[in-house]
Amino acid sequence: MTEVILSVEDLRVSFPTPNGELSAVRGVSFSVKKGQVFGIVGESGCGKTVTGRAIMRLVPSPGKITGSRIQYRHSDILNCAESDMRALRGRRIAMVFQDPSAALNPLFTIGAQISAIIRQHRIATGKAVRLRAIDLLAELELPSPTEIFDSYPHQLSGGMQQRVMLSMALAAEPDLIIADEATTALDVTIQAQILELLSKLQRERGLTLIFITHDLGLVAEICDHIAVLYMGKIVEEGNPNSIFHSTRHPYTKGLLAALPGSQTLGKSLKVIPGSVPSSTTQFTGCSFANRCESVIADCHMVEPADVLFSADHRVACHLYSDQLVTGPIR
Amino acid sequence: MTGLLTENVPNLSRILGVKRGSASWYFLGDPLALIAFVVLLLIVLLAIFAPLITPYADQGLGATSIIDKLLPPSVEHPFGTDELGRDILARVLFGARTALIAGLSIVFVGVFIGTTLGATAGYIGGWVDEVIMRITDVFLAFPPLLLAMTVAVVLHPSLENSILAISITWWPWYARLARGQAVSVRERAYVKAARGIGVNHPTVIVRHVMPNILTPISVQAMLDLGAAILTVTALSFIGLGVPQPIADWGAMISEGRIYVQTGRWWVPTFPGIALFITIMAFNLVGDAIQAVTNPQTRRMNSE
Amino acid sequence: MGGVRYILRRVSLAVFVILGVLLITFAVSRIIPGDPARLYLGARASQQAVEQIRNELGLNDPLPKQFLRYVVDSTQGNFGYSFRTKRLILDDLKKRLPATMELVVLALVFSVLVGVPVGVLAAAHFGSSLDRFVRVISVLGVSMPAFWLALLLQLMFFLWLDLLPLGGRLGQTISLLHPIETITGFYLIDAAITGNWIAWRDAAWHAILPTAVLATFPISLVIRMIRASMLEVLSETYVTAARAAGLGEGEILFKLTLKNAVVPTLTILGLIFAFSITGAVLIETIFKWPGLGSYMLEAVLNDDVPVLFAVTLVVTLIYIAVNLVVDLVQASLDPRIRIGQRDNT
Repeated sequence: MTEVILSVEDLRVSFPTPNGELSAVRGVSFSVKKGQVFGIVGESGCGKTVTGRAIMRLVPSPGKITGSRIQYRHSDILNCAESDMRALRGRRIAMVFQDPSAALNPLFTIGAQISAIIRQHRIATGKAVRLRAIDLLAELELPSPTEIFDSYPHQLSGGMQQRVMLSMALAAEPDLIIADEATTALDVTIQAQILELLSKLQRERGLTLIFITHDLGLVAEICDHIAVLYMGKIVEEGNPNSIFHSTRHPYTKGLLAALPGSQTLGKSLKVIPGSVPSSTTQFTGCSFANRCESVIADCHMVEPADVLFSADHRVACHLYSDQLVTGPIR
Repeated sequence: MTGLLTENVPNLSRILGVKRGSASWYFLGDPLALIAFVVLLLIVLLAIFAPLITPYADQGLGATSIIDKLLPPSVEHPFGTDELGRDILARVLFGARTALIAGLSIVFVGVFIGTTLGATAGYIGGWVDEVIMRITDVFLAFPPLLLAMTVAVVLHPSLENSILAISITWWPWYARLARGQAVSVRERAYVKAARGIGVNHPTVIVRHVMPNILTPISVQAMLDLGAAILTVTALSFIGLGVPQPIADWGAMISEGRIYVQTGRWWVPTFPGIALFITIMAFNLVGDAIQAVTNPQTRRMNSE
Repeated sequence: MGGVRYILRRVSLAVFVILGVLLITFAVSRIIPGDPARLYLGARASQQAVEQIRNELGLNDPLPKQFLRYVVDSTQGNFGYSFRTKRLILDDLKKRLPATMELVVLALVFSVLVGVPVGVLAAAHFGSSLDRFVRVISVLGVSMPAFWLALLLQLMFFLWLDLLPLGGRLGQTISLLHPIETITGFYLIDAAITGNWIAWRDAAWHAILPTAVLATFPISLVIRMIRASMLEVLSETYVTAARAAGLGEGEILFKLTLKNAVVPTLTILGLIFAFSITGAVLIETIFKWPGLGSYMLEAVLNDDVPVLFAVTLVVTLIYIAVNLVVDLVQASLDPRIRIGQRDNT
């Protein structure tokens, strides 16, 4: 249970643009244990999607991935050959995308698309492929799976499309699934259904999930470990209890305070002042300094190091640097 | 289509300090498009100032000098002379005038008729839309040169008639384009809002529909200029276009053909080169404009 | 079921357009100054003879009746007599049409076979020197005036290198000693079927230059279109999703995304066909190829009006048919067109 399935150390992703070097991920480190539901939370542009893509080495060119380590079990993802990476994709690590209608090829039937994956990873051959695909669709609680096998994506509703996407992710029986904003494009009721389905599948198959989202509420519901991202760095990381009830980092506090429902009726919502800086900005010191309510002198000069509060609660903030001081978690 | 942006090529945009990411930035940063644009400018200038540039302006307009016929390229006649003794350089320069005037007129007439009909059809909808679109379909069914040829035979060969004949085949494409744009604009929230507060139809068309239509249509028009010039010269090549003694590249190539077999290669070659360069320049500039105005390709360039 | 409805709709539209085309050609033909009967007989014919021909041709009937006759005649292929050759235009067409079609089909096949893979590879290696090279070449090809290129190639291969024949479809001696039996009218097919390999080689040699010139524009256009739509498709999310599922690049490029890229490119095929026909007019003249194009040109130079209208009509009809086929193929490839969007309630 406590086996580490994915470990990321000092991940950095940058894109050269005409406007300067765009640093999407600026040194992210975390470990995911087998069977965990790991949530990566942050606003748009904080680098969470890019982190997910980097783990699968699907960052579009001219993006560059650098870092100390990205390791899946015993495989070195960071430096391995593309052919080795291809063997991992789908079979060991799979991805579920945000917009199912865009992630499904409109010109091919659902069945054709699932079958292609099954065949590619040699899960089955010949006639068994079709049967397996239909079983998969049924497992994802799709009505009339045989009909859906022969349908085209545009004939299905959003919720059904997302279930199809999930089935495609599961087709090659991976251990780790990265869900990138997988429920953002859906109606709230459908969202709930999909989440329940995901949880069920995760328990039944012993999957490890990395859940990337901007929705704190979602993360609170299903994750057992959460990392909060801001400007390409993890500012706070811990289990839901620590994050929501022993919140330390000013940014996380700001996010929670801005949620509707955190204020009593009649009072206006608390907003984090200022706006997210451009990703081409280079910072000395803490990247949140110019918006932080509790900013002190050090924040503008030195990058905050990680502070451990318990076995799995750490924060990168100068406010706590006089307490238990350690470097980044290995 | 994207530009040839490379980090290593000295970037004119950076040198000139043009605002990063703006339209001019992309345009100036693409060396091929830049060269093409300069070439185009040159052609236009040469065409406008043709009579001042060449000492043989009268020959450009048609005067002959039989004693000098079929002379090879030399210092006095850089492009040689044709079968009637006329300086070919002068004829090519005056041919540029013909080509540009014809091309611009054809596109202008086509855009005018097509956009009016198409925008009306798209905006009003209903049976007006149906009728206009069916008529457009019929005209679109004719292969362009054939219809132009047929019409040109019925009328007499002249510059105006060639323009007319070709414009007839040109407008349907713009009608389709304009209609499509008009339909999508019609559905937009701000148009409905305007109607909601009581703005009448013609005002809506002028203030909201037209400006939105203009951009894709002007891009298409720019791309079409090259094709229009090609069609006009093709028509003249057959003998149906611009009559003698007006200088036209197509006619020059056609008349000069026979002389190639006796070794007088320069007669059709120089007009041909001029034609080729002109069309290429229009195409390259059109490509660049398209790349700049297409937000998707812009994204591809910057990521 | 939606598919059948789409076909019916498309076909009825085509029929309507054909009627419109007939109407327009008819209208234009009646605008011409001069009496067609007199033009046919010549200036010295007697008034009586002219009147007789006028009655035969039905020129004294009311216009709507004339139009009806025109439609009926056209559908039966009865286009009348050529002023110049004095033969039935239909007979002339039977000989000339296959000649042009041979060139057009060859050019089209060549453009697809070469253009598609090149466009795909250029898109796959976006930004590389191969890509840049391809782009420059394709702009060159699209901008090249066909008639000038024809001239240049003639110069090079006939005058200077003496490698290929100047013009015509078959050398004179060959056509006398090893004539090709007419089965389809396509020399290359007929010669191959009858085992007439000497004539086949000669016919092929004669076809090279005209086909090359005719194919220049289509190849370049196909390359540009395929490259542009492949680039668009390759940036779509479903391509990233396919990669995320571990599918190989080759499969992604050629099996999956090509289908997506081909659909918008098909619309260009109709355009290419129209261009080929008009290009044929110019190219056949230069290479003395006895096809529709040169037939049309001879008609122009001789004021042979009935031929002009007949050829315009026939070519337009073929063009409409080609567009119809292209639309239907597009619908068969893209299910969204034939099945229609689902009601998302």
